[in-house]
Amino acid sequence: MGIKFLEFIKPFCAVLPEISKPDRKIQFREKVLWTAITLFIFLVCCQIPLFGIMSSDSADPFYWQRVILASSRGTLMELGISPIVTSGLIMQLLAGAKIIEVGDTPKDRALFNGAQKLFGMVITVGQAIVYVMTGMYGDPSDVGAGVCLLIIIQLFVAGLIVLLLDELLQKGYGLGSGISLFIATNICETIVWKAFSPATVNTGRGTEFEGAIIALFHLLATKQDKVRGLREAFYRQNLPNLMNLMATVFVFGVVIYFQGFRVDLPIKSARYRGQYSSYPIKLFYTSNIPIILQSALVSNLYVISQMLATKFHGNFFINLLGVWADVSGGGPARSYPVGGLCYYLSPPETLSHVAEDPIHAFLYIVFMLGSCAFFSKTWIEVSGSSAKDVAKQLKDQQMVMRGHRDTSMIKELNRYIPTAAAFGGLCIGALSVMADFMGAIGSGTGILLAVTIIYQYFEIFVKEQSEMGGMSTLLF
Amino acid sequence: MTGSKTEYDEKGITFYYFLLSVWAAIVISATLFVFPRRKSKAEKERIRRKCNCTPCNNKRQTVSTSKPIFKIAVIFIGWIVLLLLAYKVSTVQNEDREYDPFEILQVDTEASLHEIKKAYRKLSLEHHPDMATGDSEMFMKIAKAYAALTDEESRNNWKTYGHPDGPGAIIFGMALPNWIFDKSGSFWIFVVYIVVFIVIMPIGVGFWWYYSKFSKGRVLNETHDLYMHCLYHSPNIKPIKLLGYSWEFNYKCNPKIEMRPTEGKDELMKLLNKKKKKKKAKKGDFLGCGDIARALLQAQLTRHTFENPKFKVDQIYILQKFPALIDKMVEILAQLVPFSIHMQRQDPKLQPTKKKQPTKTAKKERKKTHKPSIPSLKTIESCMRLSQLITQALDVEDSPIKQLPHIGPDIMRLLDDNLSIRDFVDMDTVERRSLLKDLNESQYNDVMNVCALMPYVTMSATCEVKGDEDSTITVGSTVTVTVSMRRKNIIDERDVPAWADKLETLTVNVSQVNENASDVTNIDQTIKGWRKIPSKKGKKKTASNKAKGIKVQGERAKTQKNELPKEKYSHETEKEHCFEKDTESEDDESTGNKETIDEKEWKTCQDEIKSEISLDTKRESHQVHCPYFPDEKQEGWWLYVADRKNNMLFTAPVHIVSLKDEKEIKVQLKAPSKVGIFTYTVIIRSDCYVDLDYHQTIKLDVKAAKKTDAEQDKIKENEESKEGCKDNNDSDYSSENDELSDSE
Repeated sequence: MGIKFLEFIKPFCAVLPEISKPDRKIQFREKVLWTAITLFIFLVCCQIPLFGIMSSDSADPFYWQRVILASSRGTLMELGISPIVTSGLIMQLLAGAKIIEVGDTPKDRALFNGAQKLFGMVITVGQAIVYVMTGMYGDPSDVGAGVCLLIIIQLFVAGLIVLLLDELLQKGYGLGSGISLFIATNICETIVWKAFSPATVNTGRGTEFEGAIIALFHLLATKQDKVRGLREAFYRQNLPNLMNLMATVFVFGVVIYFQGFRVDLPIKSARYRGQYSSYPIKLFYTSNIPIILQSALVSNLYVISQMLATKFHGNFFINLLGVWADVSGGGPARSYPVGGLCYYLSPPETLSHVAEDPIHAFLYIVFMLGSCAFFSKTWIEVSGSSAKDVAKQLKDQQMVMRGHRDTSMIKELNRYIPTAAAFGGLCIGALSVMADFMGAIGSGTGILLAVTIIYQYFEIFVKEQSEMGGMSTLLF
Repeated sequence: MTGSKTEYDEKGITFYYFLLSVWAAIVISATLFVFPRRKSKAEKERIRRKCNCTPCNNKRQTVSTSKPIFKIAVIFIGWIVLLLLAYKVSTVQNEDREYDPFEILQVDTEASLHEIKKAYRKLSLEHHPDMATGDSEMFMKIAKAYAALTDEESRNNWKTYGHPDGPGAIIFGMALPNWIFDKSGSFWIFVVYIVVFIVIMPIGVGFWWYYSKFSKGRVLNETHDLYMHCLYHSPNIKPIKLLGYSWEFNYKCNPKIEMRPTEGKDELMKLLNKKKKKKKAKKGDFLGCGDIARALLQAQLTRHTFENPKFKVDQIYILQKFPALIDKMVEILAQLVPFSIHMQRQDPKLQPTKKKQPTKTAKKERKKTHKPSIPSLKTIESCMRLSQLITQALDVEDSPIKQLPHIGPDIMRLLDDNLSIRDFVDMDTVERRSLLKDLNESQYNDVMNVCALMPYVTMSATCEVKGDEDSTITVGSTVTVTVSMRRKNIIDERDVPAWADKLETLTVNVSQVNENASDVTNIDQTIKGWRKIPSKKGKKKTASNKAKGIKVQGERAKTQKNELPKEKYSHETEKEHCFEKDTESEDDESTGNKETIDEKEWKTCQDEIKSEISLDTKRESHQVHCPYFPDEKQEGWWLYVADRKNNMLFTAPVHIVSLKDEKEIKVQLKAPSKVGIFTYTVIIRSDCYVDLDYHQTIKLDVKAAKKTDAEQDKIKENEESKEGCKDNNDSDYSSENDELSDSE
């Protein structure tokens, strides 16, 4: 059945738009250029509002998902990368669970990628229809069938653009992958906005700036009592403050510090004497996967719970799942869970909140750490980076571990890989929790994603730099 | 914005705050960035010993005039604008004042309850609507302020919401001037958008793209191909000739080249013919682009100065471009060596000859077949030598002493042609002074200062087979040559004051340096680079150290370098072990004993790998004294292993650009396919100084391959199972791993 499925996809692959592979080695400078262009297109798409939408005043049900899906409300990027991520995740899982059999041949790989893309496009259309029909952009009967269709087409084309941009980068024209680039950009945008936002809020005690750094200057200039002004700049609760900004920087530093932790297993060639290298097993063996999976799970739970809560308001079981209340703070309106399961899975907003409801904090921590470790450990099995697979890879390349026999390699790898995966997942979870408690801007999950992605880019740059010479020769 | 009011800044007050803080953030960070850092010790030393010869001074002027002043000016203007903005902001009256009950009651903020009551009574009497001076509004205000200070509920409201009435309506705003959102304003905004995103950005990117092609450190693809082609087909071509034909120097390709072939033909011809006279010169009077560039390079070698400003500009451009090109050339040559060896083996035409003369070695065969021949060591070394010569502006026959300042033709005549820099330094002070008697005291100081800052490298090379229990070298195995280098100034810093006036012999100083070095770090100093053997003292020391030196030094260096990573590692392992114990305690017990023995070995192994992985991103070593070279240059070195006898290169030259004090480099080479003792040379060549190259011979004692049965079986098994898989590069699976982590 497995092969049949891919065969079934085959005729569709011919009509799918595709980025052809580069026919020569792309220079680093060109890669930077392509990446910059991709980013530019993405950012422009994030700013262009959808044509024909009526209102977006209601509380945003997808608020919790926006971070990892790099989407922004009411714009062409409404769907963000969710179609790619979803299709990728599902296909990967299907392949990992051996429901679809994928061979090692390049043809099979290409077919698999084609299937993934096709699936992504189908999901885009599906999501667009659901969004429009559920009345996110106003009641469909008010909007009119023509405009409805127009909105769906806009979302579909935007989704296709994102899909192709991602492919462009993946095929080797750019650096890294589109998905991670967009996520990191989205989060960095949030952080910069929260630091320098020119938006102002007047709650009756004078105009206050949203941006933390702008607010510092403004408060220092306007308040008579400078000390109080300073304290307010650092600790104000309703808007982003300097402490949040510093917490963000701190988390950045901590994550980068942890990135360097690794064990290098010495390996050598079984065929040529004297050829040796090392196989690094990082502490963050699975990188940001656990946090992505975890937040995907939680945010989906939120969406479902929110929908159910609005539909069957007051039902006991629904309330058990989550009770939601609209809170309008400084930014756009969003719903907060105030009871039920969702409440206990959501991060406590402040430290004082932790003191008020320690059970909430405790359950949240346990859930975060446990789920991250669990997802991390599961992921290595699914994605083919478990000890067994690594041993097979090494064996294929005729590498053996120094000082070990062929057969004991798996055992030796087993000493490290599951531990690194589980413990690394735990660390990621802990860091995320820490970031949330300290009120870092853009949520712990977001920062963690951003940092790990930026670190990957940094590694690419350093690698290239050591080959090519200084930064200046890379770009200018 | 959730249905609440949104307003834009009508009077532009908040906009000023926004502008001010953004501007301040930019200016402050820019200032910190540009602000001169404290000079390091080496830097100070360099300035103290700066050379005052005329070309050096000229160069310093041209280099220094351009940038810093411009930068400082920009920052200065930035600060002025910042101050103006701050002034503007401070003068603007703040519209929405905070609610302050103390002010309304006209009392001090520290006032006691009694005082407040008193003030309230007084004011309320004054403003009571029933009174003649009454004002109902004012009275209400006073009452509210009084309540805010005394009443519990109002007080709380005031504290939390800033007003005794409780939370007011939330007004959202945007600190942008109102005109942006006007009808006419939005049109202009639209125009600006169009201009910026559709006109300026693509043009800017296009310009960057086009001009960065010709930037300093970059080599055009066309040039790369040209080098590849020429060096492959005629490996013995003169580097300077090939360099001239680089596409960067072609006016048709690069708009920065100003000269056309018709200009100044005679002068250039003369330069070219100077060399050619001996052979049959005369190539017709046609000058190609390649010839112009070559003539300009030739002019650099002979220190010829042009009158025509165009020539000067072009020469500077060519010289600035030169290091990258020569680097590329060396790289291509190094690539070509294994490639052409491979090609020869593949070539079916060569097979019969092999069969006919089975006794002859492969190398001899290669010499016989002409095409494609392997670029010999000579070509590569002449490239490197050209780099040195151009940097120092010396001609091929010139004595290296000419690198020093103030050494004109008169003095040159007095000097021995074969005198090396080293000899010059080692010379008796009196003798040296008498040789340079034409120079005055400050000029002589210049000479000695330049001399003193020249590099002096000691190295020790060891070779072994890594990653195996026994490190004997067997046939066909990969040998790792570990070269640890240590760079010093030719004369140790402490001895410099004694330079100019005291009559101490420098030989003693130098040997002292050696002693110090060996005492402190136990570095095995096998100095072979000098033409003369250094003083006897030094030699004795090295001999005694030689036996243990290598090992001790190797380990020392490792432990010193890796202190930090090791700590990190142990911390990590501790953590992991704790975790491990929970999950796999059974495993631990069974293998417990064995592990304690392995642990040490394991740790050293980890450290070793760590040190390899550490990336050095700094490209900083020491500045080079090169008055005739238009750019500031940093010392760089090429390190390679070669077989002098057969003129063969064994490893691709590693360009080391960050040799500040010490460095350890590992290069890998394949052991010969024959049993015996082979003598190779490890060579370190400067890319900027003439006559400061160092080398050391290493002996490879190649033994026959011995394989245990198990190993053999294993390999056989492997070969059977995966014949096609030839990649043993670790990059393959690491990249695959990355892919996995990315492809969620």
